[in-house]
Amino acid sequence: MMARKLPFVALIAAATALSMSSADSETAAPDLNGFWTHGFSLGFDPPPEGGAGPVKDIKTRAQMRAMGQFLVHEADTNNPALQPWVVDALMKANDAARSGHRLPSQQEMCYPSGVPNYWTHPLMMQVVQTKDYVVFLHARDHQVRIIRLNQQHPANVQPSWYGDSIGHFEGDTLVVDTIGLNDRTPVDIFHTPHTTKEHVIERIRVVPGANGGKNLEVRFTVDDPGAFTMPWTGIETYRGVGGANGAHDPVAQDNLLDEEVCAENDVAIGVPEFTIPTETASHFR
Amino acid sequence: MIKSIHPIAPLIFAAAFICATSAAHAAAAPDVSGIWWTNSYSMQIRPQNGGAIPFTPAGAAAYRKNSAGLGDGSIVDTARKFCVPDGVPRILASPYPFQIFQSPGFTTIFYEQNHVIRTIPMDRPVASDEALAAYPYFSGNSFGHWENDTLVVVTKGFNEKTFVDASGVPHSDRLQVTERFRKINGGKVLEDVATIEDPVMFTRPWTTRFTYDLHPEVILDTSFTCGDKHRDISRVKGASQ
Repeated sequence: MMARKLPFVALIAAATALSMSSADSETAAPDLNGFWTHGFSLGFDPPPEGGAGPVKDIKTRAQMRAMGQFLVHEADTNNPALQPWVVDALMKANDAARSGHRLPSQQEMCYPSGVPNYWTHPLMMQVVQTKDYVVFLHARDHQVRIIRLNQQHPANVQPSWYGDSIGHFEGDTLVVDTIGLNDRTPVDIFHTPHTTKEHVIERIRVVPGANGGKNLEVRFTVDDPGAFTMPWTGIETYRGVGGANGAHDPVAQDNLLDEEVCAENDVAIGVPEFTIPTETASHFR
Repeated sequence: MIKSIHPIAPLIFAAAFICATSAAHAAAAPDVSGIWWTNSYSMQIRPQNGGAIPFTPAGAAAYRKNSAGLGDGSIVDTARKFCVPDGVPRILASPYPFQIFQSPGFTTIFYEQNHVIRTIPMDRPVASDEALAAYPYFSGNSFGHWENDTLVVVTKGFNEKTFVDASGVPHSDRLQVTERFRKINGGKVLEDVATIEDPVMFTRPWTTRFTYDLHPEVILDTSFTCGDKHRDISRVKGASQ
């Protein structure tokens, strides 16, 4: 997905400078504003210092479908953080992948992705940061997470696709605490399940990228005593979008978020047995 | 066009533009951010001062067809059944809360219903019809600027998959909506006055008005999904579930 180019590039440099200074003066916090992206996820990266990490890919195969080519992943079920029932679930997903009947992901079926699976979205993500909020806006199916800064979780959080997220800054890092997640999403591209006991801590910061640009590093730790034998940590890295000469400048002023409506593009999945979210109960008109 | 003038001219223009913008920001500090929620709902969006929608003959025919089809089920209301975006202005009537965020260079509106987002770049020239032809969106393409305490948003570049309202008022891809957002009643109410233009469906522009109450106690749910249980909206007059 490329940044949209509308005809006002003359304003880029000066407006970028204004944006940066405004962000600095208004928030006095690390500035995550801007546009970030990565390609199709092949699995989260493990923590460089070692320790319990994410499920990894042992075999990726391209599968041809009527609508095009799709990547099918086979998971390493030897990860020591997995409880036996999670291993069983992954082996079923692996069987499906080997048989050519891969399981569609919730994301492909137009359901919200959950956490940390949110970070596997390809296409563009915009971060909107204000004094009281950090908002993650993914172009893909306009999936959104709102992080309330310096607040507390409500007393009785009901399980939902994205749960309840609060955050604060520690130095250069946004620390996000998420609870109240339902158990209808995987945590990753391999269909690794989780339970409603899942608790995720994300540590998000801007780090140097290629060509003098910027990357957004999302490092998270998943703690779920219902699914995992121990907390484990994964990393996903976005690069800044836009800027001249591949500068990976996340606040290039010709960036805009595309509208990508999943329910309109459901054929892209190429898996016939899936269903998209459909309202069945009576609802207002 | 820019290529035909001296290369430094755009920078001068940009600098002047930004100085003016910065001064305006410093002087007025306009702000429409917050969590907003209507207290009434109608499936019909109608002119602010009464009277009928000024349909063209084509618009009247399309409205009759849409109304009948939505009534007998031969036309599927995909915004309700599959949770695709309602489009603008229909989303302005949503009985669910929404939140406005203001960040450097952008105003962003997040509507809880169907987790619709409108990202509004600020102080950029409104793109031409030709430039927007490749981006026919449900929610259109929005461009914002401040006029004193009022956020003015021009939205165009729509697809033709939405209705103007839930009753099936039609629009074409030439729809343009100009909204004027401002706080009233001491900042406790947000007003959005929207002017709707579409030379295919309407003989002249017409204007409608929405108001929303400030609800700082509400936490927006970003998980709205068709088929799930949604927020209780029984407090919103006219919205029945």
